[in-house]
Amino acid sequence: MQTPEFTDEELMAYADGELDQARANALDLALVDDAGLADRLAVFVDTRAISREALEPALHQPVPAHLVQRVRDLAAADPTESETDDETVVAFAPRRRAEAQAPIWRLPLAAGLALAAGVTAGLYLAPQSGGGSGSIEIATLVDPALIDALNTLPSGEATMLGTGARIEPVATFLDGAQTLCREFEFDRTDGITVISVACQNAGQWDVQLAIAASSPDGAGYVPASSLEALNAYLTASDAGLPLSLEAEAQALEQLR
Amino acid sequence: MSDPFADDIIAFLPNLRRFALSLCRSADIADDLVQITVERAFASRAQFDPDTRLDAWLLRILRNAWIDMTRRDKTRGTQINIDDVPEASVVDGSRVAETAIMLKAAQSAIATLPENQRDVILLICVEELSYKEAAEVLGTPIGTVMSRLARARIALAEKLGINREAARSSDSRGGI
Repeated sequence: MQTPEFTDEELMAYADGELDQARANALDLALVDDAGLADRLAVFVDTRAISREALEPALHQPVPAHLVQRVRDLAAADPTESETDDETVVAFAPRRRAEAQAPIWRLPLAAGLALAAGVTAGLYLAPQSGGGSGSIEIATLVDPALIDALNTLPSGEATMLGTGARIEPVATFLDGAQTLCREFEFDRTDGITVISVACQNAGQWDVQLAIAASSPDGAGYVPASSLEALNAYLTASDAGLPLSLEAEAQALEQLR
Repeated sequence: MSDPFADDIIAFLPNLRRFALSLCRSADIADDLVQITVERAFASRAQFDPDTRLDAWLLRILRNAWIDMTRRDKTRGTQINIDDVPEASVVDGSRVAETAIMLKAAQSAIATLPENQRDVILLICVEELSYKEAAEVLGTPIGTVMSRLARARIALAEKLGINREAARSSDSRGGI
């Protein structure tokens, strides 16, 4: 099969939520079979998160009082102030991902890369278009069968998707921001198991973490490093204890 | 009494200082730049379109002020020589567990990027402007912004040892 080619700019735009939908869909499909493409994508996902984390401390330096005072003086002297229009208030776009989220730093770097590798893991994902709540979110689940399973399937029960893949929710929990999240295993048809966490965001499931956890040679073992990465994520996101099945059922009911 | 325009500017002062520092690498000059920016913002307040982002507008004013400043005098002479910035050590990404080390390495790596690459990283990855908004701030075509940004991120990843090969070798599927 002819694999479409993607430029660095396109992969970057995908990571930044700026790739047009048609190309993003094509890239979703290409990523399923092309680990090299996922590696190239990981560079752009990771560098965005890393840049933001690295320069975050600069925001916490105190602003010299004279600058703040200068703004106030200018405002006081400004004749247009009296006719202040409320529109000015909304001029700020919402600060995307403004809250301190689980920094990618707290994860072993391998896990950080696995965030992007999740895309290659064969989940059908749509690029994040901003508005997400976590700096490490990369994508929104778009496969209706997968979404339906996450919306309805109790933890511990598995179901086969039409494609021959299998999904089994492992646990449901609330993260530090009280967002409903589900950890689940996703067995691809080629034998690769993906361990993933997806959280609710504006009615969608956003993938927070995806780790390809067993090799396609059928060995079927889960490397300890995968679970370490998962545990690091759970710690970093301040995940609560798994909900009881009853509480889980109630929480899922509310999604409908 | 409260003027939302002023309140928004005050709330954004830390971001303006961060961008100014990235441009001029001197705290004193950065504060001068921020002050010039807020003065120009009030002077041209009527030209601000409330349907656009105030933060992008302020960043553009600041960058233009920086260009004016570097044209007008020799302020650039007081910049830190790029050679004085500690070179980001290339670290083995898969073994980095220490947050602070990685943070430092990333800060140094960003500081050693060429100015036009640093600008786009700051505006897009850090200030989270869209490509279009960043292109307007920089007065540069969007295609140029994208190619610079891609180059900057590939360079950054290489400095930090998270290049493509590293990404592949740490792939947890192993054995491939």
